[in-house]
Amino acid sequence: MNPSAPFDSPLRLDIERAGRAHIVRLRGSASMEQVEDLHRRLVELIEPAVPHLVLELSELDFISSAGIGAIMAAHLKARAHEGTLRMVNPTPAIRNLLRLLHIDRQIGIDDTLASARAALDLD
Amino acid sequence: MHFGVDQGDLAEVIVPNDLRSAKRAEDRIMAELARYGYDSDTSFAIKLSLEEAITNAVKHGNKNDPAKRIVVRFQITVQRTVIMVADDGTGFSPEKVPDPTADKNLERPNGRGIMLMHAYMTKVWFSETGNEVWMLKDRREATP
Repeated sequence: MNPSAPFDSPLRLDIERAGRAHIVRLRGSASMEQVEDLHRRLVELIEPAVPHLVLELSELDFISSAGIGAIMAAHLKARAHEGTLRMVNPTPAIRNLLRLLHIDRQIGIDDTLASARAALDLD
Repeated sequence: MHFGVDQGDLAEVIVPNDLRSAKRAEDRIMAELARYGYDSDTSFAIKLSLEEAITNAVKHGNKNDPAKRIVVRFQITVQRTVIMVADDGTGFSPEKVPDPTADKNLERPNGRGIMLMHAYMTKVWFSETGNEVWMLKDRREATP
């Protein structure tokens, strides 16, 4: 039997409301055929009454530049509504990708969900 | 012939011009990487570069035209992986794509894929017509 292919878990989003923010836990792989849906779902979450978005990434094992484009689109919409998007605890591989693309200069990265919540004054 | 590989030694998958169909080609390649025991960092680098090449082909090369197709050819060995992605489009000039890490371009939605292919693969080569990209990953090379 062949070993299972890496980065093959379907993408899952678990969404929780926390005051003026949504906290989204991304799990699995944001592979290319799922990015359009990811883009739509992230951007839809941002509205004037809920302008902040926290993306918990510790269980996201893959993302491409298209997926990062979806995160950037949500970041820009949050900013347009005077909100903020923060990312929490990406894996070393994804953190490295964000650094290479200089996304970490645009979007704050926290080591823990608690620090992201504190930064957005959600508690 | 590119990277010392004869065309006849390459496996080939031809798919319609959409990302769901193109995933079939990716699934075959990722299964082969697992079979050869490629580590997580190298598999990440190859999957990332392949998705960047396919996404460029579908959206920019074939301009999302469902009548067009994507051709993926590959050879995977214990030592290295060679992948070619081609589209039916009219091509482009890779050197004309603006630097996606320049401050003025950071918020642009496009332009990151080519930079990532160069960063994560050992060698990348575009055909003169610009509608065919070849990528080589040497398994011994560290990821960035």
